[in-house]
Amino acid sequence: MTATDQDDDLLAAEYVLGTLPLEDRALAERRLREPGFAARVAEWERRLSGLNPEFAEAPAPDLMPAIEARLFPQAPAPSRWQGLRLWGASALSALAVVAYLALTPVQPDFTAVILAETGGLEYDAQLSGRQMVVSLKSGSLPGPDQAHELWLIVGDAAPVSLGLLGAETRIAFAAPPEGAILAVSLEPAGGSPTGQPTGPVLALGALKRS
Amino acid sequence: MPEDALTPLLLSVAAQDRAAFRALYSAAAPKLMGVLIRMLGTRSEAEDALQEVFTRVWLRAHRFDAAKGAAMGWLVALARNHAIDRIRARHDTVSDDLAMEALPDLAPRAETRLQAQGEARRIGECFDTLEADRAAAIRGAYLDGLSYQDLATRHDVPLNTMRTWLRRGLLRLKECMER
Repeated sequence: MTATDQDDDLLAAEYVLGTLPLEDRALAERRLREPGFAARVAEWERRLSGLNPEFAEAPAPDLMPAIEARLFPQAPAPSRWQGLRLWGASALSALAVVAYLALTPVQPDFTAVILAETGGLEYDAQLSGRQMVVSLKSGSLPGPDQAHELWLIVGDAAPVSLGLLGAETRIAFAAPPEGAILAVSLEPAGGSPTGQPTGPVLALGALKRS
Repeated sequence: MPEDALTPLLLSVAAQDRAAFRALYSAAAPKLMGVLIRMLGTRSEAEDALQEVFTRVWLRAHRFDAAKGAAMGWLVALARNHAIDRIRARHDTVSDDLAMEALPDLAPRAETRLQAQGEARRIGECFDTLEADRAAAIRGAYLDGLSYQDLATRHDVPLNTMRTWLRRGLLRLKECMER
């Protein structure tokens, strides 16, 4: 084993153990994309898993309803625009239809309703072309010490930060595969220090072709 | 539920089977709750974290590779990782001090050792080849989420000494377990 191999192996061990300071932990986390380093981490997880029997079991409340509500939100109620469109179609006044069409925004390619499990927070995301607009629909932004950070989760890739959110945020964006998930986590002001979500996931929603 | 029954459940979760997801929760939540309470210190934070951990289980289950290890090991690794992220993100040193005082005795209980099997027995034997304080430091980091700073304070040695101890201890552990 070369000196570099040994350094990598120790970094993997310390990452699994959890002793690394925040910055080094973030560096190690980024290296998980390297298959060699990921394999070292998996090896250390297996090696140290011999300590797992020492974690005693503890009664756990049934959190499944909240978890399911967050992962599998009900289909969103028809939007204001859809309601208007129905009204527009049934209205006989050509003038009203023209006025309505002028008000209709460009139909987005993808939309997502990013919902908290318990009412509170909701962001809506609309992706048109290469621009995504994320708007706060209900709930409020966190105080000055914290921030809402938006993440894109596609398949088995690690979440990718799309940046911090304000009341309305515009994000340049290439079209994602369908079924990608947008998630909002609570992070310290300035965003996650590790490049991965560190705080709780506050809201989740799937991007759907509209 | 025997632990190896978790593997087919986790594989079904990877295939987006919601019924399997519920069954997996019933089977694994008590163990993961135990991990999170021990590492995070309070039940309320542990419950918060448990919700987060199971959300990630659903989103990441397809990364689980049954050929590379047990389902419970994968789940515990995910829970520990999340707990460590939370602990390291705390800037509140007061609560870290409190957590230090509330820590249970690090000595393994006799019955825990007797029950240990496979990996667990091997790691137990290999721990016995380490100096007692180094073994205690590794266990404190793994089981209680202690940082180098916490460990240095607890064992009353400089930070760099602690890091050297721990790294040498880990290498020795690996060598012993591969023997």
